[in-house]
Amino acid sequence: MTKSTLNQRTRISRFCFNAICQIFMITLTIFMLFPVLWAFLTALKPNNLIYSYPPVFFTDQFTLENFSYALQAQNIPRAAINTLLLATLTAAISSILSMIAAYAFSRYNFKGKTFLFAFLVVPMLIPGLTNLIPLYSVYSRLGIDNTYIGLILLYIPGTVSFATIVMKNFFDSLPTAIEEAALIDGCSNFSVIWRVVLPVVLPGASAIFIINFVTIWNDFLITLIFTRTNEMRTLTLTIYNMIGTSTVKQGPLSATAFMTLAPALVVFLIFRKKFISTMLDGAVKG
Amino acid sequence: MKTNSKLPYIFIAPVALLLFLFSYLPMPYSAYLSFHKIDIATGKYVFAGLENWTRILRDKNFWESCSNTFWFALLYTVIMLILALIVALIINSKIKGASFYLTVMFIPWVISEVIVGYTWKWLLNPDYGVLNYLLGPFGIKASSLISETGYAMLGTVIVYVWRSLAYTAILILAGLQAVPNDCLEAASIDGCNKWKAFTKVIFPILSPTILIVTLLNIINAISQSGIILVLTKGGPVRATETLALYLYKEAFMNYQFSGAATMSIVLTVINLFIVTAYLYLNKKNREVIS
Repeated sequence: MTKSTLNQRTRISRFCFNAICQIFMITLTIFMLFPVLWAFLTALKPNNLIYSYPPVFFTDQFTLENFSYALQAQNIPRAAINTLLLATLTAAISSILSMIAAYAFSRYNFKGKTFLFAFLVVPMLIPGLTNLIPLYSVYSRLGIDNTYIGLILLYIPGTVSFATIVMKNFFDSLPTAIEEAALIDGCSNFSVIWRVVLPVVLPGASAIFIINFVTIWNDFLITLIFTRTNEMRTLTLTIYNMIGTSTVKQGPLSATAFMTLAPALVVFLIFRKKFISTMLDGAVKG
Repeated sequence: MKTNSKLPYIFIAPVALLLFLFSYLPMPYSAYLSFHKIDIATGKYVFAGLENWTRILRDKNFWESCSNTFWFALLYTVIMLILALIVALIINSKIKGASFYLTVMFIPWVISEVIVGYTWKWLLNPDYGVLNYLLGPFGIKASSLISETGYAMLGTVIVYVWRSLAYTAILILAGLQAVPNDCLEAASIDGCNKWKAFTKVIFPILSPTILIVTLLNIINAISQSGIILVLTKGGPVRATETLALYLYKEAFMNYQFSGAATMSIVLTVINLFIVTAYLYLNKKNREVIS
């Protein structure tokens, strides 16, 4: 066998390998995107086309009436404000608390450090539902179910472990030289954190804020269990309640689902690189 | 590294306190509830001895949900690992569009469980479902994936894999990127083909990662309930009722808190076994790497 035919053979086999990989990934991409796309098309279709078999894919009768119907009939604006409020407040508080704790883990040596870190990591691995049963009975006795503060108090512990791990890794990656110089120049511990650490740390903190925000935005189990009134409903809970109601049709339901999904999706797409690398950071080193 | 006697504890205190109150304290309270029952006359909890426990152990539905959880975790972990490994290997081989594929695969991950459940329920609708129409010519009746007892578990698993595939894939991808390049080059100089390079070089280096990802997937699998609640509600005829879903229903639909708390102890104990193994292996693995 001459050298050129060998080269040609490896080139052909590499081409085939790449082609198979591409076909596999394209199939997977369709599998991943199709359900979302179909929900979107359903939201745009008038009622008679939604309930038709064989299903209609594209039509010139696309309409926004499902969106306007959902907005009016289901009190979406109120649910959207609730969701936004809960997600923003929780993400902010959780990011700040985890940043402070992570700073201690990264910069200080102290007794029981390993134990305390494990204390923080383990709750991530406990099924959330098992805690919600006893918490529900405590909440209803204290009368703090169905309140914003009660929900936020439940959300923070659920997000804070992951956030602390990510922030600790972030602090670990920052050089300590500037902080030490500031300390030598006579800055107090707190002014070092406020003036030197905080400005550098904002990129890491914003990644954590975004992930926490999306997590709370998407939650529905906690609001399902801990809210009772329509005024406290979140977007995801609105969808859950619509599914249970036989009078609500697929169209408005899909429209609501799409309005709920869109903000999280946009946030993810804008910050996708940071989002994915942060998810990885928190999971691998946890 | 600074040493300060009090400051680090003050910094950690708020987080630790919240976790203590909301993640650790509920466990002993669950244990308390499992030995008590509500006295209907007074509405207070009275001591019930082992009553809740014997009732659970005699409850056929409890055992069925345990076995469902086992099959769900097994199917989920196996399908997930195979797919995620393939995806990670392909993305790691730097094919064209790798970052596009990764982004697209992550989209289901940022969609709420309730929307995931509803969307798939609509796709698999027996009367109007688009998947029945698209897969019909291949002889596949897609709607049986949520409406027939024999296939419902598989259908539920597929939906969960759809949602979390990207997440597991990047975990494996991180492990793959830790495989030193010179090992692969040495292997190819020695005349290894791709398959041999995978089985003899990549896989041995990757195996600790795979073990950890497996445990992490099992831990995730046994605590899932959200999507199933929307997709099948545990049906048809309890075919997809996992332990997590059963205890949700007992607590928040039937208001049997003592019974649900008892089952949650069982779930927690099973979970803690796997978590202990996970933490042990993770620590050992990090020692090997560093």
